[in-house]
Amino acid sequence: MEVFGDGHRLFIQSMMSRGMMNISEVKEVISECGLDVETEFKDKVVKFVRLINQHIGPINLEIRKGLEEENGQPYYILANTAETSISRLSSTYSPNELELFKKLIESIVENEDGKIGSLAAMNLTDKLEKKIGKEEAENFFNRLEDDRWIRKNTNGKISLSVRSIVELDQYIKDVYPDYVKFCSLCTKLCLQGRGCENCGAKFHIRCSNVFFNKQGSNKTCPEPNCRAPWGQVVIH
Amino acid sequence: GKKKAQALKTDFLRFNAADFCDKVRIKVSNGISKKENYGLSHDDWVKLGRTITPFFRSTPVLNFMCGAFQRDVVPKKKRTV
Amino acid sequence: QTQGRFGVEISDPVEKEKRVNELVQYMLIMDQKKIPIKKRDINRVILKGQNRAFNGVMEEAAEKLLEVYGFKIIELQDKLKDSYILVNNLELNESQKKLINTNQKDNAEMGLVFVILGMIFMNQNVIHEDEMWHALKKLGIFQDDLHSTFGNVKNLIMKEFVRKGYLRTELNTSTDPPTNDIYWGQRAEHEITKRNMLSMVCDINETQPSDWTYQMQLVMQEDQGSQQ
Ligand SMILES: [Zn+2]
Ligand SMILES: [Zn+2]
Repeated sequence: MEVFGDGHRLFIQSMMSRGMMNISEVKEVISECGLDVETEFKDKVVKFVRLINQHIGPINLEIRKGLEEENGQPYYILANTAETSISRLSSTYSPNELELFKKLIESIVENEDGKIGSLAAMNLTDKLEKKIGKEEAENFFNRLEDDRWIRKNTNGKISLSVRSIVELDQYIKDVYPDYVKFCSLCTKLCLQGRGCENCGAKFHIRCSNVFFNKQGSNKTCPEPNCRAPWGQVVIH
Repeated sequence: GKKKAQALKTDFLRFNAADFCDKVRIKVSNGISKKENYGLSHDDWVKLGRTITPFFRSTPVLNFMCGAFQRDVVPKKKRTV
Repeated sequence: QTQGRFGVEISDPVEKEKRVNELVQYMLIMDQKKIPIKKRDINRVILKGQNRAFNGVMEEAAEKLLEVYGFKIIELQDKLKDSYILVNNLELNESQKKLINTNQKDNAEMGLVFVILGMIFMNQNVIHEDEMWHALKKLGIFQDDLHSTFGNVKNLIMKEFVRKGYLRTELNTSTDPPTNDIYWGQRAEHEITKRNMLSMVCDINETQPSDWTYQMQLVMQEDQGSQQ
């Protein structure tokens, strides 16, 4: 049986400092922990992470796996799993900055394409009770990107990163039940993706790519009750 | 004890704080920042920090969003598709 | 009678376990600011008046922080008595250390912390405030100006670094007007060894550690102290 040791501690510390890691970063950390990553890597990671989760679970932390919506890349995320009076003592961001982040989530979730323009994001500051200056807001958005809570694409559009989506999964489902859509293929929360013109179902880009590749030339909507011919309509 | 005190007196290197800062500037900016008033750029400070931080036993800090803020009750609206 | 006062345990093991976990979480969250965590606040927030259980709960929380996270709880002394900091207990090699990232803001601030601690140590453990500001001009830092990276740099050094425990100031009344003498704070004493500090300084001013007799003596003393 695997024994909890310095390697696991290093992994936790590395996770704390980065928030999330892609597979090659996980590989790098685990190999620094003295594990041979060349054989049965998947199996080893699963065991490694499971053991860590047993140890950090009691303080409401969990390492979870998730896919980045835009490119389908897998990541491991260190997530806080409970909203308590102690967790609310967190001070990485000021209360007003957190209010702005909430407004950002709201407008991203309410937007059909799961993105918001940078100008629209700046205008969210008007909705705050306590005002935030434009420069201050811009610094905050940069910090959010630096800390990997949000992503900015080449057009300057802001979306929630896999870190936010994984950690805030339950929050978004609970607070915005009328807005959230779930991918018909993987059943997970879907903010950015493709939609079917016929039935309105939404799919992650990666999930639908996998599906269509299997289908061959006659593409139909992945939704079992629909199966309308797929018109390559993309909602964004 | 006494021998050490004598050794101290014969110490020929005197530390000068301003000279030290000058050398920090030259070392970190690779001599690019020549005029002392220019000091170090933002990137230089980050670079210096990155070089020396591994020698400190500082702990990485936890950063999270879930549970950092209170939930609002959002008025229910029907989506207009 | 102190035995009875401080030795009380929470009798229900489930209840105790819950408090221990809450304390571990609380310590990690409070460490975000790097300001020493007060016993008074732990009693208020975690033990909710069951102050007499403090030692028992703290002991187990310290064990968990060490066992699971590799963090050591240090109890501070003197004026900072009854407050605690976390330091990293993992012995990491160069490439392992690179796996722990810090953001730009923290990196920049640590750069400044290092320069000041270096000056204090090399200046035989104390520097006068005026002398520090004079020296920092060479790095583009002026006590009354806003700095592009550090903002209100006077506040950062004299208040924030002191609050975090990197620096300690003492008002020197022998000067007119009185000015501050600046020393290493208790966090600095626990986060950085004198040996490492000396070798980093020597790397910068291109000297050998053995060139600095006084500082080398302190390094030796520290080595002996840690062997005991
Ligand atoms: Zn999907
Ligand atoms: Zn359909």
